[in-house]
Amino acid sequence: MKAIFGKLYELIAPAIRGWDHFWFTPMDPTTLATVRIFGALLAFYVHLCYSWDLFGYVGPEAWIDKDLALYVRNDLPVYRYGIDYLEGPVEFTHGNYFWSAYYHVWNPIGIIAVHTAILLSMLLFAAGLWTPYTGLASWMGAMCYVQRATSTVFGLDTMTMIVLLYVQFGPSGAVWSVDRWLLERNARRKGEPLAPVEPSVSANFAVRMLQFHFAFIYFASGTSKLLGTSWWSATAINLVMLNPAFAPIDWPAYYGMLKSLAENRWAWEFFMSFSIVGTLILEISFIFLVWDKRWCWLLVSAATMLHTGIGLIMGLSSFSLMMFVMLISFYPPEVIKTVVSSLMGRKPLMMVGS
Amino acid sequence: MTGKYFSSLVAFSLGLVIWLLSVLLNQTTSLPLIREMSLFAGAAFILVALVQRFQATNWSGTDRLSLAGYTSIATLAAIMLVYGGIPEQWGSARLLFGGAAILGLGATVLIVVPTVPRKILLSLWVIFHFGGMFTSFASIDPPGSQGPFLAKHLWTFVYRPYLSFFYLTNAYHFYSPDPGPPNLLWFAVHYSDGSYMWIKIPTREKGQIGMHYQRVLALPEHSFSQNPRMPFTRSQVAGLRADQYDENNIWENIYDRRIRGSGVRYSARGQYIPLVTDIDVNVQFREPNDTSKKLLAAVANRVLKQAPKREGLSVRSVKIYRVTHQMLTPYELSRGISPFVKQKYWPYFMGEFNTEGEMVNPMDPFLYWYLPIVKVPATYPNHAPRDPQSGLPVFAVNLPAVEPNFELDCLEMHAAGPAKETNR
Repeated sequence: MKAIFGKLYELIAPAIRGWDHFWFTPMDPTTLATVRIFGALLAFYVHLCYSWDLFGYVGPEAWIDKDLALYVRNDLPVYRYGIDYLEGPVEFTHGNYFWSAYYHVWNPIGIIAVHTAILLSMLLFAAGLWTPYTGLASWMGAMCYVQRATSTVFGLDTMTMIVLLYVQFGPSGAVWSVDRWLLERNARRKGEPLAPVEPSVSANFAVRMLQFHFAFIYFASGTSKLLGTSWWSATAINLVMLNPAFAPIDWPAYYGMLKSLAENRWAWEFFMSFSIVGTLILEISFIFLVWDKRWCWLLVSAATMLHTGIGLIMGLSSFSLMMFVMLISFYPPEVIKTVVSSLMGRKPLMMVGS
Repeated sequence: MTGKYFSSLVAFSLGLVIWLLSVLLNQTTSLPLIREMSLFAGAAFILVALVQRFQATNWSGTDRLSLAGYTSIATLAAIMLVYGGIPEQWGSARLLFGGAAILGLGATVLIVVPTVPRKILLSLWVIFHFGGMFTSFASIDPPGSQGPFLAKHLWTFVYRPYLSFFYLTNAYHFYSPDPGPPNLLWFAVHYSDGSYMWIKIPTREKGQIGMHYQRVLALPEHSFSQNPRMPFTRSQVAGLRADQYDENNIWENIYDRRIRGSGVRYSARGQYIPLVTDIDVNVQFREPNDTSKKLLAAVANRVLKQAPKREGLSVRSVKIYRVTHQMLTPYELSRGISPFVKQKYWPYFMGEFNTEGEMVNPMDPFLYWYLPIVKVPATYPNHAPRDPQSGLPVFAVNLPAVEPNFELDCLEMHAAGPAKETNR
């Protein structure tokens, strides 16, 4: 028996060590801070855009008006599938787990005040001032829109909520923040040495959550495409590139380029087929290969190219930018520091060992 | 460090006192604003205290116990608030504080236990968390089938509250199973003199913010979910009592109204809206589900309230059309056809709503039906093929247009309404 357990331990010990190393190794918070800065800035822009037609999104006479909003939140019947073989769908509860200040604040001044406070918290979070509080306020604030204006959300909002959630898990304001600058200033005034920022487990945990979630999104997106006939008949990319609501097909240059391609059937089919194969390989393999340093850069570069294409061809530039923010989580802190220091022409400040 | 210990203790005590005040105020309704403000002020003090205390900890055994004391008291206070301190109408706050209490409970356990059990607990949570993502992803029905039993029930009973709270419910089926054509919402706003004007969303107006365009583009998608089944047929309701179904919504009656609708002359061009022969009725008839019907009514309500004013006229009603913008084929593209030709728009009538938000005519023959915009021969309908039973003109919309022809815009005809002299 002892021998069996010993063998079993030999088998699983490397996996346990790997798991422990993956999730619980202390990490320099620079990567997380970079995600915070760009993620919060983008979230600020996204929510600033609500200012145009704010009441159309969250007011009492919005696209989903007060009565309907409260009905969806409190009374909408929710069905479950049958448990017995012959049982059909059964209504088992009602309402949704939605929470938002905009279910309770209906007067215009109140709405504007809440909106302004949320924007301010996002801006402060990007700057890294009172980071634990402004971070939480930013996440809760963003939630107020996605849980209330449910008829106008799209993929960008999903990604924004993911970024704002995970960035709370670690010390995102430990570097490159006003908080850090204030600590340094106080230390200087008192003539005390300021302890360097230590690598932390929570920074690593937050970054790993973000990385794994991103990889899972790719996996889900890639494998679900395998159910579609257009992905097998190599016509799916046509449907994306010729989509008149997203693609800039009203631009003569874009239309002309596609038309020239379509005039040569072989060129068209080669382009579309390779685009599909590339997309599927990238999305499905990402979650398996990105953890290997030999593949990481190739996959991250390919993902960057994919989202650049989505941004340019489909007009989803903000969505693509938020995906770039998520991709930052795959950049090691040393790389980010090197890039920043080369951009600034000097050694970066406020970092580990500086 | 001592300063942070002290300030966190003061803030924590203050927060608890304010919360206690909020619970007491909840017994009276005379000061609702103070009650609500005290709820959030107390939460702010306690949050500040916890962050300060957390930052000051040295993770020694006694210090961890002290920190756990803070989190457990805060958790208990949050639970008490959920069950007695937060007014009924502040449902969001109840949900938020409930979530915070669960989080506080988890945090207390993680603080108290040693490193290895802490890692094990966190690992179990990671598995649970991404298990939720997988459940969300797997519970979507594949085309023509049903999602897995286990995933559906895990979603319903375990993950729905958890993922909804964090807004992590997306299944990430982007562009799958197949990328579809975009949908638009077009509104024919009718005025008291019988005139009407079009409002179309979304539109690519110059100077418009891209984000606003993307959000409005999402509206036609989110405001329409098709009823998962076609209406019951007469044979399907044969065993039911009369009060268990609506006679008007039996499929045979719906289809009969549609056929009779093709016998009505419409004022625009004085033509008839033909029966379409080469598209399956499952595609031609798209009834929204009950929630979507409410959503469309709300959308109509907003359009009516925002509609441009006309001198001396009042807004009477709005007809909603959900328009699927079909995409070019590569062949059409190679021939230089514009993606914006009118035949590429497939409108479906979603109902006419009055200023009270009520549907004007639930018996409209074209309710939820496709209205073709096609090029028909110049001789139409004189030499058009006829339905053998009704004798009404029929048309195959996917056949190539013959020359000479004219555009039969059934959308415009329907928006304008029937001609005064009508039935054949």
